[in-house]
Amino acid sequence: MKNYKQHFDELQKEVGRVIVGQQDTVEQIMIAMLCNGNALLQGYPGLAKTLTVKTIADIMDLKFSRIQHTPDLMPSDITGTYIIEESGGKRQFKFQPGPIFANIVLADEINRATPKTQSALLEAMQEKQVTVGTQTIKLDQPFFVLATQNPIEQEGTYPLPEAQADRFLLKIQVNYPTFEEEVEIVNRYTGELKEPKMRTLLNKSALLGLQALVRQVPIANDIRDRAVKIVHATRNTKDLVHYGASPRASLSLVLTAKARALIKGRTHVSSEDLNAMAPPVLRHRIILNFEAERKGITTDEAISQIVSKVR
Amino acid sequence: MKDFTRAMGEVKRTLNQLFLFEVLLNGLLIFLLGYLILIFVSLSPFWAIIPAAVYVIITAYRSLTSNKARVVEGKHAALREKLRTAADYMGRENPVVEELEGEVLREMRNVGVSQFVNARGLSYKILIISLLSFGIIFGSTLDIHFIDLKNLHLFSDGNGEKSKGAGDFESIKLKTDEDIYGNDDVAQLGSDVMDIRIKPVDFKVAVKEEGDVDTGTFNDIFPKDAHLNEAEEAKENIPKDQQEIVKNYFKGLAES
Repeated sequence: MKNYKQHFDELQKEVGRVIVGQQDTVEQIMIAMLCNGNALLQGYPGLAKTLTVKTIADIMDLKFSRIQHTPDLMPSDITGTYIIEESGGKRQFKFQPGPIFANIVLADEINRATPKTQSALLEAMQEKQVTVGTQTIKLDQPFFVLATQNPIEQEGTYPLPEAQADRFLLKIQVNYPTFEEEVEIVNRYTGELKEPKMRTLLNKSALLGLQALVRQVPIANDIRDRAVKIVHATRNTKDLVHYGASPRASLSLVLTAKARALIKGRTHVSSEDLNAMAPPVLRHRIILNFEAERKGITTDEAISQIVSKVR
Repeated sequence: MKDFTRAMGEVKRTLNQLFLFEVLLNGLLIFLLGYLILIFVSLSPFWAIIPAAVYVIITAYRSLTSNKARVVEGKHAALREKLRTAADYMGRENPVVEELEGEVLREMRNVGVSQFVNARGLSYKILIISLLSFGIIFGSTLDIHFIDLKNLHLFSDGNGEKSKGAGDFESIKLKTDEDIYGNDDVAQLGSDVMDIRIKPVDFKVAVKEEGDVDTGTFNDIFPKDAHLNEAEEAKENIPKDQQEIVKNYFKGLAES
């Protein structure tokens, strides 16, 4: 387990050659990948969301594609479509795969696309397959969507349908860098332009092996029960939450806690893993009630209150 | 994996023995304390076995069924959450679990039985048990009672009203017009101390010791208008001649 920790530390270090700070974001993206889940990165423009995902893709020997979402993006632009191809004097339809046919798909600014186009990602994200016309095509493994979105308060955006939001394993909040980190960003990117050459540190088979290993990380019965209690509490805390999280959140919380334990080089899941993973797992799965919003309580604050209450 | 299973079995056995010892010691302490109190209030001291037995049964059950992994974790921070996880996954074949079990076994080498024994607490308990035992011996020997609950009739008449009679005792108010304690004036003694000396009965009278004899006068208290008549029922209807025969018979006996 110590070797895995060293390996993940090395991955962090390699990403750190491009991205200043944002260790939590990088760690949570890795956790989503280890769980074979999708992650939604939310943050204001200019916080290096896209660059972070691209850098992580660079250090992995995986097929990467990027879809820039715009209001006029069509579902077929994502999944692919049939085109007429002429060969040997014959015309025939041939399937032209869209950018979804990759291992890591960066769905950039996903909330700028229309709900119809956003929904096109649903099947791919959940079922790991794409249906075009009458044909269903399995996607290559590993497959995960890393989407970025600007906060919905901004103009020209479409809030993600709740069903689609629930399909994201994690909603990762990208925060502003600290003063020191920002100074480092300025120093690094306003001087001589030197694009660092990234090393490939993780290949496809290694990632699939790690994904299998994550599921073998043991979790004590009482810690597992606490994870379920936390999710249950989101449904029973009526003074804060209008809609609580689904059982899918319980699965996600336990699985991501296991992945975090592996990244931290531990052979077991601890309560600390649950506490750390509860906000990214739950923040897009609960809807605060009017009273909580009136008091100015944020989703993360509500989750923090719930987690601290559950023993 | 077998090593870990064996180690966990040993941990459970050792902790169960320690817990049982402590529970029995506490049970003994409760019994002795109850025994002493019951002696002081003049009740049967063997009733003290009830609270002690209840305590021993409940606490022993709780202790024996408690999660031993948690107990060890409580004393050894390095094993926190590890031991219970390994214990929950005992018997499962999994490379991560095997590594965890190895880690736990290494850490458990630093766990000693002495960490689970509260030497100071045990010393205090044994000291208290010794003191209670001495108290019981002295209390029984010197027949010390603070309250005599056995002979104290703590009954009330339901209205909170004390019935009339001698002493401060509350008593059952009988449904009769007459007070069972007799005349109120006589019963005014209350809680005053009576000085009563009872002399042994002796038929030999030493005239010299008795001193001068007081001359007393006896009043005729017999009522003047009282008559004495032989009741008809008491009269014997024996013929005169037969009476004569019986009279002569007894006369002859007397003269012979």
